[in-house]
Amino acid sequence: MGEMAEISDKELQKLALLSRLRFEGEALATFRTQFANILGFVDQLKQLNTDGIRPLTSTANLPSTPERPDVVTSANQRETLQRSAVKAEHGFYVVPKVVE
Amino acid sequence: MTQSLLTLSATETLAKLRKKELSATELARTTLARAAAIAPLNAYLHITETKALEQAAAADAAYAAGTAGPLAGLPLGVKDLFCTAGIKTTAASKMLEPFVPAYESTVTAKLWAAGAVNVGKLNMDEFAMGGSGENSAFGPARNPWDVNRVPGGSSSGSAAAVAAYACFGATGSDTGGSIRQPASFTGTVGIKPTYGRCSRFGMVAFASSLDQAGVFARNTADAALLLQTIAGHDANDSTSAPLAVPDWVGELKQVNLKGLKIGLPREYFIEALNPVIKAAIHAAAQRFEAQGAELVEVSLPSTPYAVAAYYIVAPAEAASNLARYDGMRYGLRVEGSGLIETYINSRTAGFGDEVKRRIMVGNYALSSGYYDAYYTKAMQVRTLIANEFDAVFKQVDVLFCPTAPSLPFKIGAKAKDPVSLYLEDAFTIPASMAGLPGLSVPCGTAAEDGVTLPIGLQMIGPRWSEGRLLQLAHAWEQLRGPFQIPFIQNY
Repeated sequence: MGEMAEISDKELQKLALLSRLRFEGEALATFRTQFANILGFVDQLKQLNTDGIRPLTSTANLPSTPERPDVVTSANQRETLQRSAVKAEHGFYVVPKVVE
Repeated sequence: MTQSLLTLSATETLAKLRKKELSATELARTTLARAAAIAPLNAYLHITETKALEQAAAADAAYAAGTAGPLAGLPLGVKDLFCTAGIKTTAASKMLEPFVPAYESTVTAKLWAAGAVNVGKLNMDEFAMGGSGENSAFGPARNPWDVNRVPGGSSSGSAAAVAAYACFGATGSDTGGSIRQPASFTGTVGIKPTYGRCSRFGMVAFASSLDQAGVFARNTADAALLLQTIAGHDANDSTSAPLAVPDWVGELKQVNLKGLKIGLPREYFIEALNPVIKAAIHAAAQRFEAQGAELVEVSLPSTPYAVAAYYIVAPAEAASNLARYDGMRYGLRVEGSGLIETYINSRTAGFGDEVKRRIMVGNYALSSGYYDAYYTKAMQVRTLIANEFDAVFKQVDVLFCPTAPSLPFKIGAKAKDPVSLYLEDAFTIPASMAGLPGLSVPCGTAAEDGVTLPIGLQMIGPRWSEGRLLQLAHAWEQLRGPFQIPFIQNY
């Protein structure tokens, strides 16, 4: 299955930050092992020769996307959609302060 | 009375409703009571009693008025990743625990338009990521054949509820086997149609190039009826195919087994396959041979690499899809000292371990240094897999193979080792990667540790061949004879 994939703690923490996740203590240690196992597993793909093979992004394979009629619908209304908002005021989402 | 009513097929139940031998309200009450009684299975996350009784009353009125739709009064369960307007939709995640959608998924809208009754929302692996149901944030669903075992996943609750006679059919979604494998584990019929056959509008997204809706039922005719109700083009999903939906129910018996070429793919009958399952699949194929079908050994050489390729493609798409869960507009928010910390707090608290693993693996595979080595490579392997299926379907009409390599396993048995659980999907992932339709139908039982457990036969066909798969599964049911899932009063 190829060599064990290595990922440093620094790399892992950077990836976690970019993924907007946090791993600490025991969870970090467990995660590191599982992550390495998964990478080790998927590394078997390196054994396959795929030179010149086109990557397949979708199997939808449709001739063209049919256009839908350009008419006003009653869906996607702000008030209805904001009913499940965590915090909303005056029709706006309330978020933590971004600019000082 | 109760048991004899609940164990009817969907088709029989609808006939009784049509003849007014049964009222939809009475049927809904009986099913709701059953759904409550199977609580130890943890199949339903949320029973929608008010909605069910409203829809049942409407069905009774429609029968009286002569305007009843094809599913009027039929109690169904819905996997909790189909958005239901005004009804909580969690995808079995803490992240979506407070989420009440403003709109209805196309699939469920079609069911309600046909008159079906919503019994409730069904348990699943969180965001459909898992093959056992154990990744639900609300506890695992249990297998009605043995409550100490998993019902499979990710559509764990759908499979368990149908097998426990707590609804007459259910929706599921299949990204890498999430309908077929739980169908196999619970002795139900499960079909994942061709990618693009059903609309994904209103389904909580996991891996958009693979996700496809489908159904569970207790026999093939019921599955055909439900599938032809939910299938069809939808302007709200640009990947749904603009193709007419055939009358699969009407065409169910139009099959000639004489001269039918059945492919047995060598790579699916490997050492890791439980020998009892292997024998059951071969025995089923031989029954078709006795009817004039031809068995052909075929090869799909890239099959052993499908799981690895899937566990790059699916996490990569998941990492992108799940970036929307930021704690700002809907779902869980855990406040932090600023915006970034609020994102991190919300996502760390809201997602379970498997979801976090896939987001991390996905982002890793998509990152600039590794994109070609992992993501492009996996998509190239996907091409190889799809091309090999295309070539094989020039030789044979359909493939017969096991749905899963093992019998339903015990809860907790594979929980600590994600890769061992990934391998449970080895026989369902390839068809998903190629966008092909696949179906699982019960083909026997096996005893393990003193309990009887079901075995699933998987049929895979070329694109848009759902009709043929349903015909062959129906033909198999005639050859096999009745297959009864035990009715257990109290779990």
